[in-house]
Amino acid sequence: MSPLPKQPRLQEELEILQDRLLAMAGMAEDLVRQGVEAFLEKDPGALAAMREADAVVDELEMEVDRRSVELVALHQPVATDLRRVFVALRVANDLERIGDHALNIAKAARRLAGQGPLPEFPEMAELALLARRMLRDALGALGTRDAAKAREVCARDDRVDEMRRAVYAILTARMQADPSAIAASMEFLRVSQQLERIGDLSTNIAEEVVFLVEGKSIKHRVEQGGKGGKRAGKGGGPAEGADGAVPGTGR
Amino acid sequence: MTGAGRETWAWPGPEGPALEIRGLTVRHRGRVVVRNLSLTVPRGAVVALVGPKGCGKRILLRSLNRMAQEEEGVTVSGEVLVGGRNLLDAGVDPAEARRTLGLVLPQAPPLPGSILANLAFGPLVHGWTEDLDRRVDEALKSADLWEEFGERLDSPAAQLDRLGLQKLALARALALDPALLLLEDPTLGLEPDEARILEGLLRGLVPPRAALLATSSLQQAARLGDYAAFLLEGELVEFGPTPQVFTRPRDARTEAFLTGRDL
Repeated sequence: MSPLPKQPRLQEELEILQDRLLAMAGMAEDLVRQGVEAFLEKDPGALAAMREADAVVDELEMEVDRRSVELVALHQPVATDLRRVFVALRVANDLERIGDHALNIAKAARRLAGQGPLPEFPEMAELALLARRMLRDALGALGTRDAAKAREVCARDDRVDEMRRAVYAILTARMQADPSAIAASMEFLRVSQQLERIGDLSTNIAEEVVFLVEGKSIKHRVEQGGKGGKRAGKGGGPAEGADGAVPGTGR
Repeated sequence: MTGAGRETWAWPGPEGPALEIRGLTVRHRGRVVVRNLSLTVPRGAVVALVGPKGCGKRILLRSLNRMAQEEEGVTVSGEVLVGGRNLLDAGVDPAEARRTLGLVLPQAPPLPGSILANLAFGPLVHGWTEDLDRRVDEALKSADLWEEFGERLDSPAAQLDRLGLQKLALARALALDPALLLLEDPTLGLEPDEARILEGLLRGLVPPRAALLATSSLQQAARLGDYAAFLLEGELVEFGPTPQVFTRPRDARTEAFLTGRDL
């Protein structure tokens, strides 16, 4: 049996969708890099440029939404083609939120800038590195449709969570020992939450890659040799509001 | 491009739409079947006509190239403009209207005789003998029949399979260098893979021409149409870019039709 001839218009539209998604991915990754650098180097200067880039990410997400709806309505994609559309929709949503988390990290950097010298905090730098690598590798797996690599990314989510708990313990001890360190420690705490969310969202993206390639969902379930990650769903959205206030802290 | 009859050739000018329909009303035995319809087909575009059975899309197509008027009890008023010329004018030869707007029917039967006879018939009727070979060759190539039949044009047309016959119907229209193709359910009766091949072919050959596609398949309208027009009881209810019509129809009747609810 010969295969059905390809539908050139559908394939063109899918390529455009992929192109927009990868553009978003590049920008979101860059935003996280800038946010983390601004925080570690206590450089508040990057924020204005980051806001502009984040607005572009938001626009791209809306374009992906619109194109996905039109693609389904007009071309009735099936099988892999259909999964590509759903994955694009969901990953675009994850990327948009990653951009917001990056912005929140840069905002914390701005607030910290006026607080004078702060103690060294290598664990925080390590947490940032782990989250950034997860994001980089999840997006790499998306670009090359590499399910094995994606699974490996999912398995690393635990390490980020552990690191975040370690950071939390250090910060708690610091605040108890020195009340004057509370304000700065709270900023560190917020940033650690943002980084953990970036790790979670990277896991989401990696799970989408497995769904795209293999057609099966690995969400909410433990797989052999790896972990089906917890979902970074709506309830786990940015821990900060627009101004970076931590819920429940009254700030 | 030479040939008898060329001087009366109606082609859209370099600017402006491929086809403009203004205030078209079609009556069949006194009953209005197309009501005061105005529609513009942009150059290079496919306009897909959709609507429930009996909405008037078939008689609309056939009245544009004056075929419907041959039937008893059919009267047509309004304007069908190609290159500023009204094809419904009494001074325009109906044969010219038919070659300007090339109609491709569903499951079109071949003319008797060979593939060559099928393709040469139209140009010969119009007295276009000078460049007949080129005309036939180009039509065969455009309709994707060249590779298979370029060397055996004397094969009986009736031997073609269903897809081949539809390609031949397309080639017959193309041999007359139409300004616009009127496509009436062109893939009816074809298997999905055959339909997809024909759709791919149509997409490739419509520009720089244009096409008005009356189809009973919403999916086909969505795939092929740059614009979509929804007809109901002879009235043009909605017209717009296909993505808009299929995702955000403006009229509640369009929405009801597309989603399969009661109209």
